[in-house]
Amino acid sequence: MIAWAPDVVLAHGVGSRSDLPVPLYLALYGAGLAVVVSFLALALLWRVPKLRGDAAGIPLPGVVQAVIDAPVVRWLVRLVVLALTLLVVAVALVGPASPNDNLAPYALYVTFWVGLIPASLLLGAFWRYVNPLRTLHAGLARITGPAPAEGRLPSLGYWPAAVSLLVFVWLELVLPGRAEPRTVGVFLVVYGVVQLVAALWFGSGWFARGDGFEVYSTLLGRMSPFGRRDDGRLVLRSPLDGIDGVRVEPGLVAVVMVLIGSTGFDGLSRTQFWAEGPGRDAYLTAVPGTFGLLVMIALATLLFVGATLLGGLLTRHSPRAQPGLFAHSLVPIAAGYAIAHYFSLLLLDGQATWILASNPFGREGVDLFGTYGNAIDYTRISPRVIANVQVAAIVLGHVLGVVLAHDRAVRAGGHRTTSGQLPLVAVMVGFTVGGLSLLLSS
Amino acid sequence: MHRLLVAVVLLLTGCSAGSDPDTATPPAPSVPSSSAPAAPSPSPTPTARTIDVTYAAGEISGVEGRVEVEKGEQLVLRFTSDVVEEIHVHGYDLYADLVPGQPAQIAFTADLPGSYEVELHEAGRPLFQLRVS
Repeated sequence: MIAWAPDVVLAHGVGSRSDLPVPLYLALYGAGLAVVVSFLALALLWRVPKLRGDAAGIPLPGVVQAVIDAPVVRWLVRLVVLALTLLVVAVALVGPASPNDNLAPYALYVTFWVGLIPASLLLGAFWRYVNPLRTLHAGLARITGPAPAEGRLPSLGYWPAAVSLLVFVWLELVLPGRAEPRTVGVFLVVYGVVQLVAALWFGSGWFARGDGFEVYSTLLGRMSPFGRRDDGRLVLRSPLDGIDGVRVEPGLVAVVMVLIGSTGFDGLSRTQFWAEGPGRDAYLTAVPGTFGLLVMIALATLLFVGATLLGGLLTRHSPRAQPGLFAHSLVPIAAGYAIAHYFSLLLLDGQATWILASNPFGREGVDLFGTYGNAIDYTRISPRVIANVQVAAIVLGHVLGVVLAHDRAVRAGGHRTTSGQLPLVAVMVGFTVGGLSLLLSS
Repeated sequence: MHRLLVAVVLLLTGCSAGSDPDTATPPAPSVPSSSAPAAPSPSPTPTARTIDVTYAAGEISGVEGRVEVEKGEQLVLRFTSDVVEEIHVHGYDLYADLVPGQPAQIAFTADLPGSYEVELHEAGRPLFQLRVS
């Protein structure tokens, strides 16, 4: 048995440790900055739309594009990722039964789910490129032939991805026993089967709408300096242009709300209020957690949709179109929240994946990388660094969100574009202050 | 203009991050976890802080939610239970067997910063959060 034991789960899937509350001065500084910048932005930012979405960007050198788009490279990378995924599933199902000794829960909840964030922010729509489900589907589709319902795909929008993400965050944040390797294994298999069946029915375009992980990675990847322009060239571009290019489709709001609401619930579940109040039985039953998760998602949705509808009334635009039009501006806020809540998990408890990878099946005497038996080093990053990163991530996400919403508002034009932005800016400030207070009370 | 705004904000948030002396922590090698005596240890030093927890009839008493300690503080956790159980301190990875009527003790130095759960291992039930800052 390993000399560290994250057996019972804390709120976020696996892990032995939670962050300390951020210092009050830092949270106040962050909140104040967010408010000041928001009003400055409203008053001083450009009056004509500046962002160009998918039309923007400086092309990367041709050789870079040639390598990345080369089928050989793509297939090699995909096969490696598929092999690793299958290994994790195998370890989950037949590896050591104790969460202490099995890398699968760590690989899923930390290395993958949290690791998707920096990978996508740096590389772009990273998971879309390597998605093992796409690889499997490509093989299966050869046997089954063309997809019967391909034409019906656009009408689904992103709704299937919203559902898929909701299922995963429920697993990650609520289900007692979620750190059990067998639970992880079963989830991965069932998820894979459902996704593959859907893709065989709707075609490979399904994954871009129905695979929550791919949609999450693609949305975050919009913030990357690297992207693909509308003419197919790989380009270097401003993250603002990248996010501005998110296609507005039904269900986009739902996806973003699930992301924000779930991170909000993660924050809530670490507070004293929750641990001693509604959540005191959460270690035993999924009921309080399910309720809490849905309430947080509903709260975020109410605030955002309410603000955008009000904005639509003020600017005399069709209110129904407003939430979708501005959903993209919440992507950096969702990313900031996620970084704030999870980045220390990735760097600290995430070490477990690499420690356990030395002996994935728990056999006697196996120590592939020489790390088996090591303990997680919880002193690798100091609480001060963590607190600063947390506040900076939330505030930066807020600033980007305000700028994006502003550009979209002036692009839409209409009556009273400045005061029409106030409701959404106010809600963004609310999200940021709310996010910071959750960090204060963990 | 928006580049200027973003740059200003980055600068300001950077100032906040740069103002504390701890940002450059040297990389620490993996350390083996401290082994803890499961049996009562020799009498603790006078500066050690004692925390007494009782678990009886399904109720936890002696602690309220969280215990805040300073980094480096010596701690003695004393448990009494009316059922057979096992205490587990996360992060520090310390265990103690609980037998009805027999108090168990875990003594250690709180040298890992962060918030760690102390739980009843068999039931999976959290007892309190140990907050080391």
